[in-house]
Order: sequence, then structure tokens, then C-alpha cells
Amino acid sequence: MSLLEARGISKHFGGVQALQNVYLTVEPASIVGLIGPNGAGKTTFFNVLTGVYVPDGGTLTFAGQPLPAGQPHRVARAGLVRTFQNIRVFPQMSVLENVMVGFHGRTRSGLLGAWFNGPAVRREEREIREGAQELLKWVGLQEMARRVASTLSYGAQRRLEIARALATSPRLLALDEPVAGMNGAERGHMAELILRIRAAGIALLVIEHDVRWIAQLCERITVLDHGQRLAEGTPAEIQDNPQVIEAYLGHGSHG
Amino acid sequence: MIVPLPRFKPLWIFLGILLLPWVIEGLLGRGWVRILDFALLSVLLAVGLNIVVGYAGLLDLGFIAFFGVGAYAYALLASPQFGLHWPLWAILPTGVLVAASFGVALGWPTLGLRGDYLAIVTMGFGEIIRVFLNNLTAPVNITNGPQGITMIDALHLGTWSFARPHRVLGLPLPALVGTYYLFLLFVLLALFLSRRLEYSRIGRAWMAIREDEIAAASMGLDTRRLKLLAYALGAVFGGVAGGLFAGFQGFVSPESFTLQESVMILCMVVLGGMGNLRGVVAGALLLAFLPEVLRPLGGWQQHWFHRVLIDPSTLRLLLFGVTLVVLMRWRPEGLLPSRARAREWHTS
Amino acid sequence: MVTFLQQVLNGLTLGCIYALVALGYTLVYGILELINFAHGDLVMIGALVSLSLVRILLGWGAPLPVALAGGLVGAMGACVLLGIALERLAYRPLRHAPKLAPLITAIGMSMVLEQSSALLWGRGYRSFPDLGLTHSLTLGGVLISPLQGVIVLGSLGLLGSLLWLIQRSALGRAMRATAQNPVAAQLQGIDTERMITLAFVIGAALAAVAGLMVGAYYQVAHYTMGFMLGLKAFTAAVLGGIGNLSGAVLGGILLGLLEALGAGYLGDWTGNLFGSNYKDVFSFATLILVLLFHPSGLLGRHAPEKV
Ligand SMILES: Nc1ncnc2c1ncn2[C@@H]1O[C@H](COP(=O)(O)OP(=O)(O)OP(=O)(O)O)[C@@H](O)[C@H]1O
Ligand SMILES: [Mg+2]
Repeated sequence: MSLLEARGISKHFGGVQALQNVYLTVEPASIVGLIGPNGAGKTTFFNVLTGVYVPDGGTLTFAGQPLPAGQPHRVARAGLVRTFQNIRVFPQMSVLENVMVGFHGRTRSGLLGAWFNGPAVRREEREIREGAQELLKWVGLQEMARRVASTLSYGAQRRLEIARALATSPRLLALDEPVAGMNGAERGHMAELILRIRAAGIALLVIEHDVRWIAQLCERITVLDHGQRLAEGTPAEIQDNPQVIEAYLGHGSHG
Repeated sequence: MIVPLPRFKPLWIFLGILLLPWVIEGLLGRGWVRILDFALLSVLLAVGLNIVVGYAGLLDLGFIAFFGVGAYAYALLASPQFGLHWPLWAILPTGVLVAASFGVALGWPTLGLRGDYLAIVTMGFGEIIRVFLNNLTAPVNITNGPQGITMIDALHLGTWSFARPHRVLGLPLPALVGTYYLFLLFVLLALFLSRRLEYSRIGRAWMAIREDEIAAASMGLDTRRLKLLAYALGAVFGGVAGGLFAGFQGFVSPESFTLQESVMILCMVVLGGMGNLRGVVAGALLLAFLPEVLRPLGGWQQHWFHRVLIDPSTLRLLLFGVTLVVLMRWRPEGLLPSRARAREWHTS
Repeated sequence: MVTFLQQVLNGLTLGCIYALVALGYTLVYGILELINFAHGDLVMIGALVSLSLVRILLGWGAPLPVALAGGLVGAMGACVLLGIALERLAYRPLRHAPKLAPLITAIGMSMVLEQSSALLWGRGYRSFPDLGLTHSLTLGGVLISPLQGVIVLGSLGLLGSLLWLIQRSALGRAMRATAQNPVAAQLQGIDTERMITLAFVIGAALAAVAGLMVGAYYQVAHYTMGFMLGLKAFTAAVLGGIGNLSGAVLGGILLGLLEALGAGYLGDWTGNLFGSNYKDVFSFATLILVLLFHPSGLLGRHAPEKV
């Protein structure tokens, strides 16, 4: 059974048809690339997927269950989390706290717990903190734990977003342009991190403009153009697809 | 920086706080102890509003309504109005429940709203409550209209009344000083509860919502529930303060619960430094005392110019307004901001 | 039916005044996302300045239209100067400060304006000179005063031409561009600071007109009158969709009508349980209901936030 199945997703804003009848599937523990020129609808697809926008039509199935439309927190708790193209860390919180927030859905303590601060609550807090530190180490930010998030470099903020998302213990991690604005070495690090995440059994859906970078990572690629699915296939198939080449040359590309 | 537990202040600060009303009474007279007591209620209110505005980032311009609800709850349950004379320990939990339900009632319709829409709706809510307080006299006279409710039972625990002087261990304890200690207890409790929340799972979640609601929801935070919780809790703090106010003052009327009062508490929170408890306390004390400090303006004018040039109460409010503007220009992040906030402003 | 028409007329009059004030809120909000808390006080200043000027000019034997025009021009001048001062002193220095900081300075400025007016005009109610325009005519049972006619026609004309100008003129386009995306507007060579000042100037001028009208209509002015009026007008702006200019006009007129009808009929509707003293509850409850179903107001753009 596929982990994620999106069938016939459509979404429009006023006169703009941002998505039109889009199909996409992600197998468990696989990496899928989502590419397309600017304005193709990639981010919109993420927003629909994660409940930020309600689609006009289509169905979303995650691990056999329908995804709750328009309810981001329930999507996240179902095991589908994402990062944002225009980074959205919690700017004034410390790096460690950012990641600790990710544990929210998996922990229980409430008002009374906070007030009485009993042994169970303290243990939970300790576990969250240690878990967060562990994740920071994983993404290479262990030195930054106490820094205020907004003071990090862009690259570090992107990794922080990934650590925060991993804290929710997802089954599918959706990354929106994780290497935008990064140089070659940083792109290499990010690719390595993505492969490590997949090795931990987590599937990934990755948006990226740079076809060559994404091709070396994923099993399958979906191409969007003008809100429609232009092509779907293995990286090799996609790179040879004349329509795809045309779409990219036609619009001018980043990669 | 993560501080897991509230840090205990050096002993001498505690001593100072304990002795403060005596010093004030000795130096400035009894009237100032009363002002001090009211100032503590302001602190309680500001700490409550800080949960909503400072922690969860929800702009609330109708906060005084909860103060009013708490005050009227106390007034109705302990006055000749309905012939009820409940004891404090029974009123408080009732008041807490009532205030919390009002908090949820306000929060519910506003959950989907952003920023300034929230401001106007909370403002409207505050006005609605005030109109009801003013007019709920028919068919059953509940609030007694603009005259308000008088002859409210004084704050008391068992036979110990806070409206009367006592002797403790042979020492005289004036009523106002006794009340100070009672209010202080509530303030310390409120600070303690706030502090614990700030560094808890819930507090973190609130701050995440404040910083970026969409990101917070996308990380699995049930933002609706968390926001309602903030409203309800803030309302409870406000309600308790209101109950104490009613019992302390002995009468309540709608004019204590106007929008201006809501605005004043918001000023305390923002001016002191949103989200930082020490700042909020400082802001509340500053704004509670400032008008009182400026009160003798007429006398000073008399002294310096041998006549009153400018109506003292006008001058007082004028200076108050100027102070707000100057303070905000000088420190837009508040007097004692949380560290992160200060950094944000000074690096941008 | 006659009472109904009467209430509609009264509501329309009030609503036009609200619309004038609401437009000032919305103009500033559209660009700065700032609630100009002191805007209501500009209306109060407009009322008091025009009151004094009209009284003086009438005292000098000037004919009524001249006195009124003099009062209006004087009030506009005062309000515009104050509006600019407000922006320079209280808001501009805090352009990049935390979001609530300008709200506090706005509240401070509002107090300063109110108390300064109390100093200049006293704390009592000031009665507006009798303009001789309040002697009502009866039109099919409905009482209508020439003043009401002037208010409704005058403000609708003013609002209409202003909206048209902002839609059509180059200056208006620049303003709208600034409101939509200040950074992009600046890149296109628009002087955004000037646009911001302009928003304050237009808002202040409208506030002066509203001040004269409201003073003449109720025949009194008072240093605290701006507060409630401002609150209502802001409500109107939100009702229509804050930042949306036609929304402010629609919201203002609607709120005026709601209030008048609420005052007239609440008692009948609720079996006298809630009388006209609940009219504000009625307006605010309507606002909350509207926002519940239309979270960005009646004409506000309902687009989801771009993520
Ligand atoms: N909230 C919104 N309101 C209005 N239009 C929107 C909104 N979000 C997206 N759009 C429009 O939908 C279309 C698709 O945008 P989207 O951001 O999904 O593209 P993208 O493929 O992510 O592009 P990029 O590579 O530039 O990130 C664009 O025309 C965009 O302007
Ligand atoms: Mg995108």
C-alpha cells in the first residue's frame, strides 16, 4: 500500500488555477521529487497536502486513512509534516525550544502538570529535551542549541526546520526547496541528510528546481507545470522527457 | 535559555516586600497603602493579560470584562442584592468557573480571526459586557444598573475580616496591611503559576503560536484549543482579581470596567515588556502609581506659581499620555523585555 | 412604516459620518497595518475647532455659509496638521518596532489630544451654534432636517469622489500600490513615505468634515466625544473589511443603520426584554456574527494567507 495517495487534487485562487487534477503517490520510505517552473503549484500542493489550504476537489489518503482537509495539526499528528519554502522557524525562541515544540503532539502534560511539575512531567520534559538535543546533533546544530533561532544563517534555519519536523516523528517528511540559495557543498550536506532520514524509515517528498540535484536522490519524480501534472517517472525518464525540457527551457529555469 | 524552575530571589527582597506596606505607611501615610493594594490588583490583572497577549500573542482589548465578571460574581454572591453571603472559599471557585466560561465564550467566535480583527472583537465583547452590567435590571434586577451593587461583604476568611484591624502576636495589623498580604499571596501565586507555564509544554506551544501560527499548527499543535486555554486562563486571573476588588472596595459599578481600563492593562503589559513577568510587574506598578504620583500637581503649581494654572487632573492625564509616548519611543520593546525580543529590536 | 423610514434616515445620517471616519482608519491601516487609535480624537478636534470658528465668524456678522466654510477650512487645517504631527512623532519612529508599540503610542497620543482639548475648551459640553438648519420638514410623516440632507448628500458626494480619485488618479494608484506591497512600490520609484503621509492627511481632512457634521448634528461637542465615535468607526471599517476603502463606506453606513434600527426596534423584537439601551450590543453582536462567517469583513479580500 502506498503511504500517500493524492488523486485529482485541484485548487484555485480567484482566477488562478494553481492545481488541476494532480495525482501523486509516495511509497513508504521512498524519496519522491516534485519539480516544476516557478508558479507551477508545487508549494500549493504542499499546502493542500498539509491542511493549510482546503482543496477544491480530489482525495488525499495517507497510510490508508483520508487526510483531514484544512486541519494542519491533525495532518501532522497523522504523520505528515513539512518544512516551508520561506523559512518559518519560531524566530524568538531558542533553537532547542524550536525542536521541543515539535514533540508537542507526542506528549501529554497539561496545565496541572505544568503547575505541579511532578516526577512524570519532569521526566517527560527531560526526555523531550534530550530528544531535541539528539535531533539537533543529527542535523548538525548541536552547537547552536541555545541561540535564538532568528540569529541562525539561512542554511542552519533550514536544518532547524527539518529537526523540528522530525521531532513529530513523521512517516512522511515534505521539504519545500530545502537547498534554495545554498552552494554546492551545502547541497551535498543536505542530500546526505535526506538520505539519512530515508534510511531511518521516513519517506520524503522534496520540492526542488535543480533537476540534477534531485535526480541523484529520488526514486521517482513528478513534474508540475501550470498546476497540471506534466510527467511522472524515474529520474532518467524525466530528464529525457521532451515536454519537461520544453517546460523548463520555455520558462527559464533555476537549475 | 531554558530555566526549568522559578529561581528563588534573595531573602532580602522578600523581606523588603513584606515590610513595604509598613514603610509606606510610615513615610507616606495610610492612603498610599490603599493605593499599593490596588496596585497589586493591577499586577494580578496584568499577569493574567500577559498570558493572552504576551505568551499566546492574542491582542485582547476587552480584558477588563473578566475583571468585571469576577467582581460582579463576588458582589452577587456576597451582598444584600440577592441576600446571599457566601464565604470566600466558595465564591472563588465559582468565580473562576464563571470567568473561564466567559473566556471561552469570547475565545470561541474569535479563533479564526487574525490580529486586529481580534482586537475589535474583544473590544466589542468588553463593551457588550459593560452594557449588560449597566442594563440588566429588568425583568429581574440583577446588576442594579449604573448605581451598581453596594454593601458587598468585606473579604473574610472564617471570622477573620480583612476590613478590620487585627492584633497579631501583640502587634497591630492595620486592615489595609492585612489586605496587602492577602493580595500579595494571590500575586505570588499568579506569578508562580505563570512562571511554571512559561517553561512548560503548554507555554512553549503558546509561544510557538505567537511566533508563527501556521508553522505551529503544521507541527501538530491544536492551535484552537491552545488559544482557548489562554483566553480561559487569562480570564480566570482577571476574574479572581475582580472578586478581590469587589470585596476590597465594598461596591462595584459598571464604570470601573470601561474600555479605557482594558487599554490601561494592555499598556501595563506592553510597556513593561510583553511575555516577561518581571517586565509585566514593573509595567503594572509603574502605571498604577504614576497617576497617584502626579495627583498633587495642583499643590505643586500653587507652591511654585502661587496659583493653579492648569487643572491638575487634566495635567495628570496629559503627562500620562506623554509618558506612554516617550517610553515607547525610548524602549519600543518594553522596559524589561524578554531577552529574545530585545535582541530582535536592537539588531533590526 | 413611517417610524421605519425615520429610523433609516437617522441611521443613514449617522452612518455617513461613521463612513467618513472609518475611511481614515482604513486608509492608514491599509498601508501600515496600524490601528490609529488617536483618529477618533481628530474628529473631536475637528468638531471643537469648527465650533469655535463658526461661533466667532457668526459673531463678526459673517453670513452662515461663510461661517460654516470658515469653520470647515479651519478644522481641516488643524486636523491635517495634527495628523501629520501624529505620524511623525508617534508612528514613524516606531515603523520597525514590535507590533504593539505603536498601538501604545497611539493611545498615549489620544490622551494627549483629549487632555489638550480639555485645556483649551474646558471639560464641559460645548454647545454648537444654532445653524438654523435643524428645523425639520415633514416628508410623508418622516421628519427630515436640511442638516441631515446636507450631511448625507455632502458625505456621500465626498466619499464617492474620493473613492473615484483613488481608483483613477496616478496618485491614487501609487497609494494603492503602496498598500498592497510597500517594497515593490518603492522599487517602482513610489515615495512610500509620502504615500503614508498622504493617507494620514486624507484621513485627517475627512475627520475634520465628520467633526463639523457630528457637532452640528448633535449640537454639542466635548473633549471625550472622539473616543466612542472612533471606536464605532473602527468597527465599521472592520465590518466592511479593513483596508478596503469601499468596505469602510459600506461598513459605516451599515453600522449607522444597524444602530438606528436596533435603537428603534430591539424592544419590539424582544418583547421589551432588551430596549434601545442595548443598541451597541446589537451592533457589536452583528459585527461578531459577520466576522464569524466572513473573517475578513464584508468586502475584505478572503484569500488565504500565502504560505
Ligand atoms: N494564497 C494564495 N493566494 C493567491 N494566489 C496564490 C496563493 N498561493 C499560491 N498562489 C498562486 O498559485 C500559483 C502557484 O503558486 P505556488 O507557490 O504553488 O508555486 P510554486 O510551484 O511553489 O512556485 P515557486 O517555485 O516559485 O515556489 C501562483 O500563481 C501563485 O501566485
Ligand atoms: Mg514554491
